Amino acid sequence: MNANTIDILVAVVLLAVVVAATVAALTRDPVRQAAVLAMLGLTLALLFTVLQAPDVALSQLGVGTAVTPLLILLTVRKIRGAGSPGGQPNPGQPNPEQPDPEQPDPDRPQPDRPQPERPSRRERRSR
Amino acid sequence: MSRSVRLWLFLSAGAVIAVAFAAACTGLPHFGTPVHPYGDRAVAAALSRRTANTVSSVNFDLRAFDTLGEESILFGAVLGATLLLRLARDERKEWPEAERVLPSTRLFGALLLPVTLLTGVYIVAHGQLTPGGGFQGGVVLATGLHLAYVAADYRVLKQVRPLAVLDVADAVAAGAFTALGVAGLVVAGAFLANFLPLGTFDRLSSAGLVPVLNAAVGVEVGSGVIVLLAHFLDQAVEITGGGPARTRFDPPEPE
Repeated sequence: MNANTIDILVAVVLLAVVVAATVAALTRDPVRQAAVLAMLGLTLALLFTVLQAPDVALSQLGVGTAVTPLLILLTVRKIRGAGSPGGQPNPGQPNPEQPDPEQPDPDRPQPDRPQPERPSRRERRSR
Repeated sequence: MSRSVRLWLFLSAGAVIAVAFAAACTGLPHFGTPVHPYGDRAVAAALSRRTANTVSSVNFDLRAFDTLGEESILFGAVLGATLLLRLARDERKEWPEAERVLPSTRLFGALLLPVTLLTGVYIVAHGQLTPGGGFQGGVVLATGLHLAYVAADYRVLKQVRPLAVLDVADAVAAGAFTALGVAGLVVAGAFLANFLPLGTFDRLSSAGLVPVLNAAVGVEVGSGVIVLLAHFLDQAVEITGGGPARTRFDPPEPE
């Protein structure tokens, strides 16, 4: 490959990195952000490969594409799912997310009057 | 500070940085040119130590002290995560349930697990010859092991992951890097000096101290990342109780 081809390749991959990084910064939901972060890691690994730095590309592939998004996903699952498997409320133990059926729940929409759109408790907590 | 003031502060600072960065980049040597002042010196130094992979020579010989700092950062991060994610007083562990896995997925994992682990060991062992080294190979080893979780379930992963051994291996390997540095100080008169016989160029046994340091880093990074992921996975899969993840610093929710 001559120098011109490499320059074009570097420019294309750089553009992909910029796009992926901007999308990652603009994504607000942490789960989606983790997926975009993995994509950003992949484009960065490509960039390092094009710039003839395979050592750095290998580290980037392992840490940026696999480990970091996984840690984020596990953290989000723990925070949102209160630690029960599958993110589902565990039936065997009292769940703080499930209010007592005898008590009136302010989040539950009343049948006779229209309720404005409100985020659920879980969504509010995740902010 | 209001939103518009913050935006203006960012835009003006960003403009200054953009201009300065662009001006600095014009002074850099062009990418891919045959002559590069730092590259030439690094390659000459690597060849004189009979190290085929110049990057490894820089990381583990010429600037091994920097690498010691980086390893200590990872070790500190693993230590901190272990401390923070330990079982709290109001939490308890539940033995994870066995999960149904497709036979083809299980076969895929059983075939691929040894291949990935072998690839990791290869990358660590050939750090002084080909791209890769202790850090990269260690990450491959650590993530490859989690194929046991992807292709089977958490019980199988717990069986192939002796955490008590890996905890100790992480600490011993992190200490071994410093111990090798002190050995260089004693034998050759400088911390982390390359005091081992350099061997034949382009052989597994070449480059003196570089493959030894690579092995130490490989063990440290591999076991460190496994321990780190283990604590995160335990929190997500096994540990229940303690209510939702709310700290006492969070204000109570308005009802």
